[in-house]
Amino acid sequence: MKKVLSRVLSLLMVCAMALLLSGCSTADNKVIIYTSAEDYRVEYLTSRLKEEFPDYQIVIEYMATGNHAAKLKAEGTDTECDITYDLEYPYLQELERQGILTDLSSYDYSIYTDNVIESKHYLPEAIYSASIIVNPAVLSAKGLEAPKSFEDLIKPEYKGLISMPNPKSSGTGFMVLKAYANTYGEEAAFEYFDQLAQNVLQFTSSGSGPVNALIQQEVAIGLGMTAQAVTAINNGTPLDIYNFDSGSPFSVYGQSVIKGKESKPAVKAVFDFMMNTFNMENNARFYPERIYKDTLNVIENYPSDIVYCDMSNNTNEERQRLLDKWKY
Amino acid sequence: MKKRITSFFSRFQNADAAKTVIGIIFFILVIYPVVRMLLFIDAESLQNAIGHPSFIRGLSNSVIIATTATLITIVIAYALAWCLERVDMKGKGLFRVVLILPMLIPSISHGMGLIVLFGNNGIITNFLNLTTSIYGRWGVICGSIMYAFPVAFLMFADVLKYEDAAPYEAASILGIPKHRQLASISMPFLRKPLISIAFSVFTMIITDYGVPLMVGGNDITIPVIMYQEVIGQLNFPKGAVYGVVLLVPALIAFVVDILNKDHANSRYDTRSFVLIQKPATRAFAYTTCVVGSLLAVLPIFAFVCIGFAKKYPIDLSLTMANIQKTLNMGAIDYLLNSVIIAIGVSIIGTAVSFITAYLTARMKSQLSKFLHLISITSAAVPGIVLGLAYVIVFKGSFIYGTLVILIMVNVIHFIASPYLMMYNSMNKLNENLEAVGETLGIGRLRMIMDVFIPQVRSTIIEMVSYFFVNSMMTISAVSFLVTTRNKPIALMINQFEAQMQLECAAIVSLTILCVNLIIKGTLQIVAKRTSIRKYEVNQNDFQEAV
Amino acid sequence: MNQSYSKLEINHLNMTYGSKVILDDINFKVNAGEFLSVLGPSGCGKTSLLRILIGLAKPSGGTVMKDGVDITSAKPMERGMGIVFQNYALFENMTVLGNVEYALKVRKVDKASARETAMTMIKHMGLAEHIHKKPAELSGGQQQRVAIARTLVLNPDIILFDEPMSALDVATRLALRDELKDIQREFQTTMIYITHDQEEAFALSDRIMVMEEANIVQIDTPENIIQNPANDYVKSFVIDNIQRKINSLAKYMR
Repeated sequence: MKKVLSRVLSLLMVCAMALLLSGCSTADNKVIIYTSAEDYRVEYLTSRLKEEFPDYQIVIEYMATGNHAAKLKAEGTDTECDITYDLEYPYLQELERQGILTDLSSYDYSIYTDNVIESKHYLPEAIYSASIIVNPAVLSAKGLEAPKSFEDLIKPEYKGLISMPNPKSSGTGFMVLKAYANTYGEEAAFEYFDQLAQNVLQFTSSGSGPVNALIQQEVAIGLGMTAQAVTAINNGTPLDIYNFDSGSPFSVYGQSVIKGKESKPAVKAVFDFMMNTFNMENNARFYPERIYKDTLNVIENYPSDIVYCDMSNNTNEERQRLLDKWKY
Repeated sequence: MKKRITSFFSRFQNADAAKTVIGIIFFILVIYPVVRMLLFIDAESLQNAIGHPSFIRGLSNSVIIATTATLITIVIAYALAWCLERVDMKGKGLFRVVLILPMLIPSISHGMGLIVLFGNNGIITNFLNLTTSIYGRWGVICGSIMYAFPVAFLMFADVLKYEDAAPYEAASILGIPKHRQLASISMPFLRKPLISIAFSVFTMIITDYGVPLMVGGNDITIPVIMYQEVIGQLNFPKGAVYGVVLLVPALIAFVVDILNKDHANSRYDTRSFVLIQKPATRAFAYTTCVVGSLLAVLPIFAFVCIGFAKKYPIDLSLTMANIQKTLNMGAIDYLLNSVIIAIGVSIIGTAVSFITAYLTARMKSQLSKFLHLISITSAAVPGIVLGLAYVIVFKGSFIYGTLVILIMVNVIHFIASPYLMMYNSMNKLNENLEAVGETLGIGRLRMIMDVFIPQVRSTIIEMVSYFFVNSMMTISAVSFLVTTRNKPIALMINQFEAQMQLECAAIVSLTILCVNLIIKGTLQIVAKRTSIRKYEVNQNDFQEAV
Repeated sequence: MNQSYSKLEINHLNMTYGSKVILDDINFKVNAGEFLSVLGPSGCGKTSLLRILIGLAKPSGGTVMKDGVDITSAKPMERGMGIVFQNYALFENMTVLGNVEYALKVRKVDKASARETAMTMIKHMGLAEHIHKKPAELSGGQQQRVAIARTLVLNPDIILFDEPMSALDVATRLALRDELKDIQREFQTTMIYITHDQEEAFALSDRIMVMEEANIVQIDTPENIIQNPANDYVKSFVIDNIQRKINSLAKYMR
């Protein structure tokens, strides 16, 4: 018994040591992508990369936008991350200033519309917009009308029925806060969200939380991503989308390669594929808002009448300043 | 005079060199990081953190929730332990297994389970047409009870098992009524263990971020704020302020536990209780245990429901899609990470606690007391605080991002209890064994291998099991330290939480439960096969020997 | 063996711990084959004396001579002495055979001869039928025999006992006393027996050494101690206590 025990133990030890060491090695064909994209897009990206690069070992790590940016900011070029995908422009600006993004001048910038181009260190990938999304089944069971404006959302009858992403960790959440502040003024904004918080069931960490909560019928109303809601509708969940009457909050999302990582052929290959193929597919499948000069995609059920609101002064300092005042 | 040096051990009669080395290692791995974390706090972040309106709210929520949950947990845990230890009924073995199941999954899973069951569209909410919301304080309290009661239950069961029936018999003969017996015999006997249990449960709950993150709604707590600051913003200085706040209750619990130590722990010849057979009591006990067990398995039932349903709650037909989805997200790699971490922690943790306990219990000297104290100090540092301290100290070092650092932090985080188990076992062995060895000409090392290890084998198995299960399910110390390379599977749940992907989270929770059940079950069988009855040492007797 | 030396000779033995005097100039001799009890209350220094004799503790001064050889700083295993501790400290994880043959195996005696020696000893001690039992399955008396066998197998000529029976009930103790005497007769070993039980000392010993606070008060045969107690302490601690026990029993025996 004792002998068996000690043999098993030593075998385990050897295995453990081997695995520990293997965990430390970085293979040439390994690519690590940090992303804040929603689960279905991560899934799609995973399967496309698997098809395209069957020999590569590609790790796609999801993090909420705030976490994603903070991690890269803290780790700098020492990060294990090779490609940052689906990060908001203000955060990319910040990383650019920190000097940890690769120069992407060699890529063709001429294919993009002018409004989504601002730096040679990152490229656009999608325009996110936020809207009021409603699960009509849940709402009608409560005998309530759908809210259509910021004003409607703070009505007491919606108490505990609303899900909103936390601006602290979610780009979508911040988008909504910033849109209100730009439209009605900062002071009014914080007063408004204090009132809204009374109705909010939970501030989710991620922007994709509210739509998922709507699908699960945990809430009736979500302040979430329009594109995600459309995907859910097209996958068979009946949801209604209402654009804010004061204009839709939006934000441009992009990607880049961490400085120094571009020299790895595998990283370069994967990033090229994303620029030249995947982003177009993404644009056609999930995010039809126009970023390419020559392509106009239409996705079923995607609202065609979106009027964007003023999202100016969306810088990182501004974000930090507003978030320091955020209480939830 | 010629002195022959036969072994390392005979050279250092008290092994003071070894004690010093281990003591310094503990110091570097426990106290130094915490001090570094404290130094990280600057005036500005202190002002920002304490001055922020969410701080007072978080603090009062934390205190209210932890206090309420602790009180309820203690009542429930005591009732269940009493039923199982004092009443004669069938199925005790099954109840004992079922009641500790909640201990085998992460705290965050309990929050998730509550949402699936009692959320606005929860299984039970719909079934009973409930209108109240689980989100908020009461939800956190319920989840915390789920997560903490098995620990309290085990501790109470242990206390009750070793209570002496003699005073009660004497009192009955003297005609003292039952309620007076409760006041004059039970309460004084329970006082010390009760204090210990209450404090450990309170600390466990107040430092947990998993449950409140999930069901807290707008009632956020200090650990959640800390988690959001550190994970969401990587604001270490601010996180450190919250860390200090969480350090306070844990430190108080630790000090109380030490002051509260039971000097008279030589209750060997106790008379055991005659199990109650009164039908009414039996019915009560049976009902209590059945209800308790049902509540304990409820979240697991919920996970099965949503994990294997096509689209909960719309389409409940069986599907493997969620498993496939979880696998696509790298679940296998993360599971492998977890298993390696758990095995590493079990082996290293057990070895370190064994050696330390041997040095403190079997080679007593002045230094032993210091070593004893410092090796249980980690119990005073909550997991997330230890995690943050480790990030601050080890960031950028070569072990950052490897499995080694996670093994290290888990060993330190969990070592106090297993160490105390071993310390107690070692103390219970005949004090003259070393002298026997010396007079028979058997070296210390031989004695350890041939006599000590076999005699404490059941404790060793218990330690391995404790380290493994806890490393498998922890989301506290590791949460700030992971990268994609070394992420354990339990932390996938955090990611799912952010996106409200309950189905995948359920699959992961069930996976963790299965692995833990297999390991715990196997080890228990091994322990049963090889145990020597006389030396079986009870589990979780934290209060017995500090 | 040289007949002109005592089996054991203790000269000017001192021991201090900090400022506390544990043993104060102890001198005595033990003859070969003798059964000597060391009797005294707890804290009188008798256990320290025993630990010095076996080599588990070092004296502050003085010498221990065995057969005329100075063994004061010899290792315990080199002294040719055995010891039986309180509660025996048997190896609970090993069988009776395992307990007895373990020391031999560690000393690199070849396996077959180690087993043979152990078996002979076990049979000699009347434990043959318990050979594969673990200590927990044995009675107190059987455990004592295993503990003695475990030391005897190394051929010591002196065995020390450290209050071996203090944890046992009266009936077992009475039985064990007889067994001890039998074993001594059989093996001709010198025995030094530490106890705080007066009755036990008188029942077993050829001579009794009475100790009080680090000193020897009297060392003599039981008869002589009864008849000529050296001082009031001996009278009250030894004789009066025994008298009390006898009286309490006599009450019922009339």
